[in-house]
Amino acid sequence: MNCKQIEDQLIEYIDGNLDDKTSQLIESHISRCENCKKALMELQEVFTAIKNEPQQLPDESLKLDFETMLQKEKELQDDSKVVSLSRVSRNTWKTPLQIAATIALMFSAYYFGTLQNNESLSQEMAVLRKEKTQMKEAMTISLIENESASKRLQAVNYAEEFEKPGNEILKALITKMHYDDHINVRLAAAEALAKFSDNEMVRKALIDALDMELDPSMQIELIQILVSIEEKRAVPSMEKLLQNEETPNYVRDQVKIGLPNLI
Amino acid sequence: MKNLSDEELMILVSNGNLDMMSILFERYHIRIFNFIVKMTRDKEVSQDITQEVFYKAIKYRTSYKNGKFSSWIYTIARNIFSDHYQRQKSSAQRLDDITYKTESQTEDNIDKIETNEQLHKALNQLSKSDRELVVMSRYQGIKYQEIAEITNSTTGAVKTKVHRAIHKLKDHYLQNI
Repeated sequence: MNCKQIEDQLIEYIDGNLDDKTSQLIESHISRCENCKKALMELQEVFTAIKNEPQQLPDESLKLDFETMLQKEKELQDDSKVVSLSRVSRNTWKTPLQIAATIALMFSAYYFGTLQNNESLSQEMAVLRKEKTQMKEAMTISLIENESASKRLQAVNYAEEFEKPGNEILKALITKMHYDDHINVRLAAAEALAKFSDNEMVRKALIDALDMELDPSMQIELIQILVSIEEKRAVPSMEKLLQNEETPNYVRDQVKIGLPNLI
Repeated sequence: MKNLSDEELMILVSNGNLDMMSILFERYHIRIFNFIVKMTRDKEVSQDITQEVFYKAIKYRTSYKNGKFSSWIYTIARNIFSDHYQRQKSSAQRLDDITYKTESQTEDNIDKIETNEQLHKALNQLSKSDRELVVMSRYQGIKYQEIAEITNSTTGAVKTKVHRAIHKLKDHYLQNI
């Protein structure tokens, strides 16, 4: 096994979910490989931190409220008249609603009058808003090339927030999805792109990604996205995955689940 | 009655014996509460949501169909949390709201130990769905197969997603130190 495969198995190794043979393989690899040893220790550190976190207890009032609620439900069960009562109480809303409607009418008349004054203001606002979006886009693009993987991840998450991202943003995301060294960045980019799947360029890029991608978790993500956007052109790539002997079984399963939805 | 399994108790509840719900409440309310606390970081809100989970469980008792009780109750809890999250998202500007929340929480009394804060910060940096997977798998100790049932997915997919989320959490956590 190489380091990548070892890293994928570390969590199950810590949890003791692997068979003896695989465990031993990992153990002997770790004794020789500093990087994997470090990765193991880091994971253990996180797990210890999680384990050491105390469970919180709710206030006593939660239990009391539950018992009150239970009593009420039991009474409801015995007594069907309560249903008619609640209908009466619904009617009592009528008067306040009528008053509220009157007030709303008065206010809307007033605001209609002031509307003309506001028009120039709203134009100015539109310009400002556009500038803000442009700035955000520029910032995202510069952040996306950052050396730190978590900064890039952050940038990808920003990009996801745009309602209609420009082509430049989309292209940057596609490059990240195809070529970023870090699996989490690639995954996040794919997730973000899935939201913009109306765009033809994005759809093509997703198909290409499935063709190139070697990491199983990324493959699964891509298969799910392509199935959900009903991209029929991805069928050949998926069939190729099925035929490839190196494809792990759980990826095959995912293809088998998804493929019927496309054909 | 205390010797009955969760499923047996819930069948009694769905047949109209509401008192049996108290035993299920005793068995589950702390777990559900802690699940929601990890997702919302807000004790008050979490108590309200936990209360609502058991309220809905009673209201919709007849929709329980002999499956694993814990999966069923977690599905309810997820739905209610999701509604709450959507409401909160639409009622305030998302980014501002989140930063405000994390700041006020750290000042709050919940956790004073430093590692805990780093861990919370890292958890908060995860997306909602990643955070949920980490919480269910690592904090609540729910098996992949059951998480798949709760989230309507397959065991294999859940496993890779959980792994990926843990690695992300680790990256954030180490970065924060």
